[in-house]
Amino acid sequence: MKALVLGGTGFVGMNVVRALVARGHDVTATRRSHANTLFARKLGARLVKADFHDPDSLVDAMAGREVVFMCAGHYPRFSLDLEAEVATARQAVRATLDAAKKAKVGRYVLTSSVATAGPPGPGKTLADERDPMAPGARHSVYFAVKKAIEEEALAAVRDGLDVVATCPTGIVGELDVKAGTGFVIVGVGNGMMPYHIDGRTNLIDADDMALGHVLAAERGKTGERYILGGHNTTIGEFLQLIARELDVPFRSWRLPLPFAAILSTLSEMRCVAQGGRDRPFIPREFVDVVRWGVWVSTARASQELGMPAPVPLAQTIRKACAWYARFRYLKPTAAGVSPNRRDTAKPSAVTEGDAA
Amino acid sequence: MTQNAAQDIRTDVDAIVRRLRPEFKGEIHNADRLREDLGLDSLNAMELLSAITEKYEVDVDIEEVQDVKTVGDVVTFLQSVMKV
Repeated sequence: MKALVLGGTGFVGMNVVRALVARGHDVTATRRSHANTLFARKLGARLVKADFHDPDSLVDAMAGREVVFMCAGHYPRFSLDLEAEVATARQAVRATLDAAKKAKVGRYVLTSSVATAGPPGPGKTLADERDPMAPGARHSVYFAVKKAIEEEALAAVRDGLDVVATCPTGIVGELDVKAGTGFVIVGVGNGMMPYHIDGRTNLIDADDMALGHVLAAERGKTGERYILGGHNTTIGEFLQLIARELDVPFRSWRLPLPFAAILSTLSEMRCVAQGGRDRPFIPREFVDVVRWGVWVSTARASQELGMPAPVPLAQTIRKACAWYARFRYLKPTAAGVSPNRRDTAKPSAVTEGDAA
Repeated sequence: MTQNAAQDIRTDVDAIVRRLRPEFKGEIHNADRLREDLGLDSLNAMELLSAITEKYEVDVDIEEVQDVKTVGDVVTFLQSVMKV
């Protein structure tokens, strides 16, 4: 397929690019003017500049592309202004949808989030695509943004656009340059996590997530959304597995969620007051994701997309830790995976070097 | 690599640093450390190296980039890559 990946320098976008290139597709990816392209340049896709504020640049990038992967949904840096963040998110996704219509794109695959699903309905233990977001979660900036993006995209089906949405769970893997989900790996590995929060979560290997996007483009039903998940687990177990992989002690206080919510908001307010450069000690969106975390069924993606069994969680963590060690996010004292021990993980199908 | 070319790189590095850290108003020296002296965090430092290597159209080994610590290192690194 001739594919365009919006957000080609981000974590999701780069993994989707890598999966597409590995399968022989013709891939173009967008980047912003000042984006860090050190990793993206090596993945084998053409990079073109495009921006939501410049609709013509989006139409130009989409011209002649059969499938657009929208991996560039607005990600609120801080969870302090729900209305403004939702408005920004809607504006950005609308710009891409309008451009897709103008460019007569064949299919638009949205990277949504598992945040838009659950909790499980009566009689079920696992949430699935039929379960709507909990009403209380809509007060979360992160959840409200994800919901708004998905609503906008799926509504475009009524205008004749062929839209399919993927709803990945917590993504763990390589190319997480900004250490999004991976901040917990960096935190545990570098002994910088004196506090943590615990709750239900589901984790998916970045390679599986990317494959799910390709399969959604090839086999997904118009207007449907597909949960791309891996393993139902808990944050506590995830942290213990990371510590075990890195061979570091894990000593961390478990914060009650209501307390963590207050602290994270105060921490974000402090960051904003200081210019917005620093990261909060616990991002509020992470607290919300844990607060509203659900265990999920991946039956639909398995049955309709043909998603294979997920990569084992320990292997996913091993691979991610090796990547963070290789690029020195982890101090050498995280002895389990040092920069000099690169044989600890089974490499992905295509590494940066292979794809260059 | 001529002295003038090295100076061109320095000029570009300075401009990128000031874009990344608009609040930094002081002089920039070769010995300045990107993080400790100029206040670039690790992601900013990668952005700097991304921008400068794009400007000079050179492909780099990302792991080698990790050894760049100072403004002078950036210039030296780029010169070494451009000689290859």
